[in-house]
Amino acid sequence: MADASTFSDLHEPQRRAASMAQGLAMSGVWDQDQAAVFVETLFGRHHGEIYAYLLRMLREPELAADLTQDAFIKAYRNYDTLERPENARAWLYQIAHRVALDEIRRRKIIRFLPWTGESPGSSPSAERLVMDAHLSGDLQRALARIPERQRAALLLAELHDLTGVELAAALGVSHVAARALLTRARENLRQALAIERVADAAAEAAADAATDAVPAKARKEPR
Amino acid sequence: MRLRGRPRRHPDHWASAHERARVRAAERLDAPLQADEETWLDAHLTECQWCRLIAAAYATDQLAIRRLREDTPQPPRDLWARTAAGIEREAAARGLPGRRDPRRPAASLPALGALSGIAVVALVVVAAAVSGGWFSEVGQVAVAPTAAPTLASPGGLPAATALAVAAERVHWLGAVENGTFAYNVADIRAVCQEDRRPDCAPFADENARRVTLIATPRFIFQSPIDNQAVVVGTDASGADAVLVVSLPASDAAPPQTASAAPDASGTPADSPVASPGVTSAAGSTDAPAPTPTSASTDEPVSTDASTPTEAPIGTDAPIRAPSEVPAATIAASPEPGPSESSGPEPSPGAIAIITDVVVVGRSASYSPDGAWFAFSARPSDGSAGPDIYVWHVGDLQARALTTDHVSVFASWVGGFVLGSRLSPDSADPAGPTGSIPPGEPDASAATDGQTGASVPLPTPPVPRPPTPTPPTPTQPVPTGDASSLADDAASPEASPLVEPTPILEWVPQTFLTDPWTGIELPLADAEWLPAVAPGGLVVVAWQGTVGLGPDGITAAPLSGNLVVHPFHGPGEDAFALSSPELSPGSSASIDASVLPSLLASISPSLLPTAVVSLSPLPPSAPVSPPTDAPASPLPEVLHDFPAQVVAAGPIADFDARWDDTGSWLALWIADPLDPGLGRLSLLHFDPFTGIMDRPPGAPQDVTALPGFSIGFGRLAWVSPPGQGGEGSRIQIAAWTPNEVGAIESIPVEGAIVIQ
Repeated sequence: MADASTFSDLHEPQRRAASMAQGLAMSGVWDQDQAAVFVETLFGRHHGEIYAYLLRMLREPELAADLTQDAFIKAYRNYDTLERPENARAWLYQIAHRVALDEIRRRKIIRFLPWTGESPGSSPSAERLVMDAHLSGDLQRALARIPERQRAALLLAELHDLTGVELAAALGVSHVAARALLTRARENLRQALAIERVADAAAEAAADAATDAVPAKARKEPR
Repeated sequence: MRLRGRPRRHPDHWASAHERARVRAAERLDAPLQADEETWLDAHLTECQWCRLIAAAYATDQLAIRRLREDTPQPPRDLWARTAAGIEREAAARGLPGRRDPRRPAASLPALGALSGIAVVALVVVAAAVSGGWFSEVGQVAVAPTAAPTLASPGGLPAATALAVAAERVHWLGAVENGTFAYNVADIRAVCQEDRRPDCAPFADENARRVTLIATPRFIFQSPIDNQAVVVGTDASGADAVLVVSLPASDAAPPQTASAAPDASGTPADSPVASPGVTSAAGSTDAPAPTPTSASTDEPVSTDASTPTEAPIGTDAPIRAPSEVPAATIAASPEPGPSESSGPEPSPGAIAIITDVVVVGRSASYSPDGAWFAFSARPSDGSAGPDIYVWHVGDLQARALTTDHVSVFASWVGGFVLGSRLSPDSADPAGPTGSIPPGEPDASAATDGQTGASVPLPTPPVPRPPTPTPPTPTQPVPTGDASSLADDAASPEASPLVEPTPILEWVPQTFLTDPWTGIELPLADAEWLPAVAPGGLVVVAWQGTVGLGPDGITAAPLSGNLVVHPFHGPGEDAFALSSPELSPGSSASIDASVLPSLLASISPSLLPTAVVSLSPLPPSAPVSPPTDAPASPLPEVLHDFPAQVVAAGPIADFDARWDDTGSWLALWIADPLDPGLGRLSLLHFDPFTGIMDRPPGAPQDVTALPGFSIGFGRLAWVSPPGQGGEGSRIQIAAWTPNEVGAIESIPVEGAIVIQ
């Protein structure tokens, strides 16, 4: 848990609470000042979870911070497109989700261009390595293996407690499609986990073999 | 997260039955399946071990993903500054001036509270009864003064200083006549400050609607997501009834359009800035709030909804009577279950989800997503102790999640049931108070087709749960006879233990259960009835021993303390230890033999590195005073903090629940001489310091009937009937981050707050 907003936004009733605060700034008339207040309120309540979501999607802390910033600026810019303040959280996730997909798409494009050099996502940064170490584990790696839209669906549903309607809104798909996405995500995650565990077992076996080989070599060296 | 909707594919279109099973098993984690698909899936899983493995893997993966919450990353501290600077640039690009210092942190609860404090009005009260229809979406209630303050202000009471609050609505019932109740909803926009409560005029149930129930309610639990409620009460025969009722949807009433003119006594001088904190916080100048007008002043109330009060004052939009509302899924197919034949006929729109039981304890509740309702019950004939029951929305019947007859529901942790049970090995045979004969695992319970295998526990004297088949009448166990939990297991037909045992003492066990699969994970903390706060960081629980309650069958706190401490969930050890005790549930019938490896396959990195096992502090441990707001704009939530005793034992019974933010704890402790009464207190938990305190004005040890309701920004309870036959009063405490105010209703006969 990073801050108060993260702490207080894990569950559905808290989303209701958040919407109440958001309602404070939503008196029905678009206004630059209100937009700023609204986004400020949204930020205070949701920036922790949005950052966490983007980090889990992209696995780079600094990039996640940049994209969180982008998401809130876009929320400010599109404040007048939010029709119902009680939907603000799902709306914000929708923005964040699009920001994440845009970034992933951009990285894929960059990766395939031979002369652009290294991009932020083309090789693991030091932060990325730290993050990987911090979030190491079969599950994290398995999540990284499944398609990003499925990963997003799983994270939003299981970790960020989006309801079915909110999930569909955040992903920009229909209710049925969101459900299908989740189902496929579960199956792909299961398979990815199985692969990770096999890989782990192989790596451990290799490490054991290397450990066994060292004394044998050491025994030969005195000669 | 729960998704609803029909599956897109027809069952006949599946490539194979195994594919269908895999898909359905995955879907079941997100939403209830249709009854026929549920049945088919269970049957298939019984036959197909591979599909069982996969279904179990799905459930395990889901649990593992949810555990990632414990590793929530922290955003950089300058994120707001960067974002605000970006917004400034965006505003500049549009040719508009920026509005504030970007270095200032975002508004959060404390900031809103401070702003609220600045703008508090000078007038009395306000709890506006019903302004948005029945069970309407509470989250949409803005703090803006759009409510219709229908508070009676008898005799032009002097205006007390009102405390503007943003709080969830309060719902309650009052008895009108036999089987008929007045249903009320109140918006809470302002309450009276502590020092002005004597001047505070009570509010009235002026917008009450008449509802009929086939049972006399004791507790009513409302779904957090829709118009459904579970009523726990007593039917005409005196037996306990658990009914699911479908109430009008929140959108039955048109949106609230501002609201009616303020209370005559309460406007001008007192509320020129009627919700100043809000307007200030929103930066929307000091312009007066919109003039409240109520749609209901123009539109007649539905004729079907007769109101106990003759003239609904300041009501809102027309409200449909229950009968007009489309029945919920449970009401759509009210076919009686096997055990319903002898019970009362459910009224239209209501269904009895269990019969022939006595509901135990006060901790029943809906899951946070509203998909489940969990409660504890024991057979009404007293032949066995309690078990945890879960009812899934859409099902006709509740089902037993445990079959050991010594388990009770404690609280929800996300989508998982947290339960307590008497430890099989915890009775203190050498202790001065008595002992439990070592019960043998009940083989019949383990093979029960309805509920699957059960955890080996000391005394399962009756193998079958009370539903769906009514229990065979047996010799009732004499009240206070510990044999009901003891050695009847070996010989059910044996005479009850005659030798009186004054006190038996157990150390409780706590466990986490998935309501879908019945998979259990034992927790390390030996606690009774832990109530985990939303967010999962903190828990309040009884740390100590438990004994038998007055009925001699159900357990009650014995010696120990009620303690608040960090909640860390199941630790790695718990997973390791869970293998032999995994108890597959009835819905999935998963082979327990395959589960240890699945659970063990969860990466240790996803589990807590240590299981917190805190000892209670001495009873004299002081409750720390309130602390100032953290200096840092984005303080860190503490994961570990010292345990704090909030109530020292012995206590007869308790009910502890958190508000939606996990920051406010309501604590009801039963009167040792009269458990029908108790003392209620409200405490604040600061997640940044880990300190519990009682803010100014918060109720402390006020006398209250059982069954309070705590929600966002407010606590509601019922005070005992007054002298001279005066009815109870609905009491409401509502708060800002800095202060707690209160307001009460006029006397209400048979008042019950809906939880």
